[in-house]
Amino acid sequence: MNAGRTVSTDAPLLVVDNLRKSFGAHEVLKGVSLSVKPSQVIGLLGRSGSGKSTLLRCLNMLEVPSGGRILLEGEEIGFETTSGGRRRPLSASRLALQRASMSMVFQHFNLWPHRTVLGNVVEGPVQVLGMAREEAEALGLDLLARVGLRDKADSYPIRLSGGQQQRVAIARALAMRPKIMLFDEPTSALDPELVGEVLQVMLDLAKSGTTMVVVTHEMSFARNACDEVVLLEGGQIVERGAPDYVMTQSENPRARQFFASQRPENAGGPV
Amino acid sequence: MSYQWDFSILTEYRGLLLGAAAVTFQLVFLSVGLGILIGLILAPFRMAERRLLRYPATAIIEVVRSIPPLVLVVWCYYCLPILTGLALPAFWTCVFAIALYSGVFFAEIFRAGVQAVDRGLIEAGMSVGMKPLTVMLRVTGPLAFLRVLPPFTSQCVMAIKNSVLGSYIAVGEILYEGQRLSIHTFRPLEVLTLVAAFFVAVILPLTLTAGAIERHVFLKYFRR
Repeated sequence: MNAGRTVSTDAPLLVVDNLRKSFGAHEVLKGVSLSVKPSQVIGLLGRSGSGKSTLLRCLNMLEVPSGGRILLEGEEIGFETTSGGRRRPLSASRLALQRASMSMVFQHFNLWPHRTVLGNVVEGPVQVLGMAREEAEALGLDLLARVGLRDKADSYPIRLSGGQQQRVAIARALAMRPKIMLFDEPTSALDPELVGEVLQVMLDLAKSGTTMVVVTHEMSFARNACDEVVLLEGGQIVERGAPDYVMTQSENPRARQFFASQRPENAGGPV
Repeated sequence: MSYQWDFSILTEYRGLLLGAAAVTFQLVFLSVGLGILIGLILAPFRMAERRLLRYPATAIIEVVRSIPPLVLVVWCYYCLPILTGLALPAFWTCVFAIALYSGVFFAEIFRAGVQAVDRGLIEAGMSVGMKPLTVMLRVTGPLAFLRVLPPFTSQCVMAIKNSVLGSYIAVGEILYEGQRLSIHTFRPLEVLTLVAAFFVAVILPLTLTAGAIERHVFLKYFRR
């Protein structure tokens, strides 16, 4: 647990307050609250349909919450309060700026097929941060070296394996120098033999003090890399705490049932 | 057949025919260019979430594409001046009518292309902080265009061929001048053969180039 890092005792970096999300009449998130401190790694666990991916997508407004608030360093994400006290959605350009500081890694990688590996990594810094292309490429090559793909800089994504594509996606997210990184089931679309290489990169990130919120089904990763795991069920948090406690010692019957069902197929995982 | 072909009249009147070919090229470049512009303007409205924007664009597209292009050209030539008080020269009426007709098809092609782009690739752009316009210019637009290259090329070919409709309102393009020449020389078969060869010579390189680009794009970006 904790990957040998020191989690800051400062004020939370990210605060989620009573977050709600409905799709039509179906309420997917029913008032979720949590906080993330700098350098902390939070694992969001739960069965399919429990709301964990929706929660993550609400954090950077890929899904607009139906209620509640999200604060990053005290600034509300996606909304502003006018001088008259009225709360209204942020303009698209201001929301884009906020999103830049909370990069996301997707389940299906989502690399742009018409750009090279390096092109994918430098696109954000050049187009969003206004970085000079030479500087961005130097940064991009450093990050690709960090994920072990420096030699693939000029390849197109289609020529890479799933694991390599996901590592490029992580480099692309890192290139934005985000305050927090969001991972949405980053290994779920990978063949089993490719999962380890991605988890290793994520473990290295966790050790280096990157603040991360990770939706995952990889119990061994959650145990080894997360400072705190949060178990969701039916759009609510049913248990939270240190991974060892939640996964093995919790008295909560739903938590016990969930982790009991996960144990056999996750024993001896790649990390 | 006992018909005696005589292509010498084509060289005799080459000045006239070259001038007509130049008019056809002008007509094609202007109508295709304007048509693409109309398509680019209509497509976002056609996809807009707000009905107030979407419905008028949909109405224009559905009405215009249900009119035969010849009817549209002739209608624009005779009816538009009466309705608007604006009497355009035949050439510009033809440019406008063919551009409008092509434009609604281009709009549908662009819409289909944008809607075919994987939502995840757009979200990837949003997640690194791109503004909507940047996402459109750097992600959605290029990927949509790569996907619609074959129907886009087909529509360009249709627009080029539709340029001959100008002959119905006396625009001096290749078919109009050819018909005048065939009446004057009593050699319609030679003239029509030249007109057909002209369009093959213009269109075939275009379709072959587009096909080569399409194969290159597919192999480079999409095929393992």
